[in-house]
Amino acid sequence: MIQLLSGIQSTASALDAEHTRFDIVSQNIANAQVTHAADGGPYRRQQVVFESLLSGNTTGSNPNEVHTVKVSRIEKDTRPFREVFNKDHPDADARGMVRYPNVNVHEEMVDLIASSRAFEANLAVVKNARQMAQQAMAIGKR
Amino acid sequence: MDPLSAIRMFASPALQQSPMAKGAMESLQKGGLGGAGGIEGLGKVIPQNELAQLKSFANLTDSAAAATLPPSVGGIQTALPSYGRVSGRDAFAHSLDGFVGEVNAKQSAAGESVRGLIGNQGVSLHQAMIAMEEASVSFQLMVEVRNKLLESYQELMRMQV
Repeated sequence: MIQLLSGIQSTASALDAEHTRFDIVSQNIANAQVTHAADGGPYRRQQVVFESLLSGNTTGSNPNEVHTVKVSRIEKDTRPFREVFNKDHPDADARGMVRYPNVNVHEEMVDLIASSRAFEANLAVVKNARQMAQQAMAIGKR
Repeated sequence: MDPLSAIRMFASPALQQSPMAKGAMESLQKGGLGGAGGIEGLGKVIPQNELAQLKSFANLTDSAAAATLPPSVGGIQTALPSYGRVSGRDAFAHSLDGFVGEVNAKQSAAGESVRGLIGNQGVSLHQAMIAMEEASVSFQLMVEVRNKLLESYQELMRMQV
């Protein structure tokens, strides 16, 4: 297969990975007040872990091996839940304490900005690769 | 049928020596090909003729070049051992065919990803856009190659003998 847009393979995988990260952050923000998640307890914050993947022709001694990005796993945050006194809440325990998710919305906003900026940077790479290809093809024009 | 698979069909080796190429040459001599204008109305103008023309240029320029090259030009002939008329032409036509096939594959991959995007099959927006961009750039390159071949053919035709 011809590669006209250089570096597009790793950039595309990075875009995929950042997209997943964005999804997880938005899920954390959306569930920041959920006291009763699927497992019965409050929602637990999740975070993505990226890993670099060597793809392409890895068997030979090919210098053009591509390091792509992959979401290796989605981990649950083990930090303790936030406890608020509200004895009238349906999910309050015997002491009248309600356990809220261990999501800090400010922290999530920072993650959101970081992932959106990383996405933007990769898009800039795509845009520049296209521009380079078109400029190279403009050599033949007169 | 999309225009590119039509091109591909016409580019198949069986059709190369057919009267199709001759007809394409005639239509060219009548001025049926308006330079780079063919690309603009891709939806309306089916570019299958253009590729047949491209193929016939490949044959023609090759044989013209072989004709201008004397059979023995001192040591040059040994320097270019693979410049046989038949094999050279076939190799060029073959690689051209492969290239058109690849452009076609990229186009259909782009169409597939857009279909996956609007059909909610887990294709994200950037994947579809990148596939479309790749298809577009490779198509542009194909058009550039065709323009270049046409240009060199016309240059040859203008040559004084």
